[in-house]
Amino acid sequence: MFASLELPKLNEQDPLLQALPPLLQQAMSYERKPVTPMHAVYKENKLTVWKTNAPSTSKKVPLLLVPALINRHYILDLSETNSLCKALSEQGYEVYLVDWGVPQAEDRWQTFSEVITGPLHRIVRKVTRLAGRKPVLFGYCLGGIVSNIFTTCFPDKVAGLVSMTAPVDFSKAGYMSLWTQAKHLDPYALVDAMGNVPPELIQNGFVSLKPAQSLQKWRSAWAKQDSAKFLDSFFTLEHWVNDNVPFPGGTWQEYIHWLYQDNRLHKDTLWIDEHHASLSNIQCPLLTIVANNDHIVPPDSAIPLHTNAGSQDKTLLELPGGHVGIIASGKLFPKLVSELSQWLEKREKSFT
Amino acid sequence: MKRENYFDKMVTTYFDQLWANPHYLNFMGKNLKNSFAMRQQWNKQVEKLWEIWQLPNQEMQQRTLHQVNTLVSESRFENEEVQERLDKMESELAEIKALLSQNLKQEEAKDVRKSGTPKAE
Repeated sequence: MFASLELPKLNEQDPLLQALPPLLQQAMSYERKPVTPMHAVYKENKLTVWKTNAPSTSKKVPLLLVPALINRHYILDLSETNSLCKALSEQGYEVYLVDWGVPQAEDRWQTFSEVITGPLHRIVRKVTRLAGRKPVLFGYCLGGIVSNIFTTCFPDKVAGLVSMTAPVDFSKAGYMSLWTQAKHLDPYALVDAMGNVPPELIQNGFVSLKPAQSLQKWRSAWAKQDSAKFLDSFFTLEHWVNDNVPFPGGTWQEYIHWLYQDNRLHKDTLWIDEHHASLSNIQCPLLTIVANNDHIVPPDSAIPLHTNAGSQDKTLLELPGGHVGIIASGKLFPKLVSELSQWLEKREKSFT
Repeated sequence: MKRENYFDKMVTTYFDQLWANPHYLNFMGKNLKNSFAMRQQWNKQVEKLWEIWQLPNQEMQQRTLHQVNTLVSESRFENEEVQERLDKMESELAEIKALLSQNLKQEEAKDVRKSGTPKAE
């Protein structure tokens, strides 16, 4: 499949590389460069929490960015022009970024509840200690789901919640909800058989949602290959899209069973250990961001967070883009940053 | 309509119908179930082989390692937190001590000014 299309890497000086069209040249020589200078502030098992070097301290509320467990964290620090870490740290926020790391075979036993009550709970406590005040959680995609659930379980640990393209009503999650129905898929049997869920399986699932999009993408790249700027941004994103990590089996089976098959978060029947993960528990300022053309998390599946959360101060932001485009598009990203910073600025005094 | 657009539309329509087709989904679901069952059987046979040699099987090793990782993470975090609190308390204590000795010195200096000599006590 296109998702797993991997070309051999060649040295930039290689004569063979020079003879190829620019698109293939870049495909065979692209290497990601780090964008925002950061240092690790917390490590456990495979995960690392990074903090942007500047500002070292801030009077503004600290921001904890939580990406999806299945993707690499650098989607939130993608490129010079599309880095949420860079944009927010330049505005004077202390930005912390969760890097979930690459799960190994033994992480197959990590359950969904454990992610919330274990690593994420410790990360939030650590950031609170380092920054001297509670953080605003910014969750993207699956990171948004765990951030939402964390906030329902530990509402007093979070100053504010920004949930970007994170589904709540999983019955409206398009093909994903159809494919994961209990009559078609037994998540426990899959994990028993395979252990961790291989990244190719998930990635091919996403590609299958819009198979024609993969063709269009490469066709358009071929047509625009004379622009070095275009090629750079194309491969920056393409590299991230194909750089996936396995989904810890135990986490995945409960995620599919509880959220997709039973739709417990939306039905208000989700329990994380002894915590009732009810959306009405969310009392902090809440910003729900949805992308109008999102085929992975359709707006209808994400908007119920805005509707059902218990917060008095809640805002719904609808952006005209796709699931990844919302963060990776040159046009949409500045809008996202400006809306997000306005929302944060307005509430600076109310974050407690 | 451009040839590419026509092709894209055809691909999209075809897959949209396929992905939502209950017969296809049931067929694929059954296939998956069977392949998982086969893989589970294989895993069980391998585990039995390990048991014959009286060795911990893969599941036991993974579970143990996961538990060790969890316990290590928890205990390191709690230790670190206690240590940080202790450090903070120590530095607060040092500040209080410094403040007290400063106050004491100031009072002594006041007494010297009043009586001309330091307090006898």
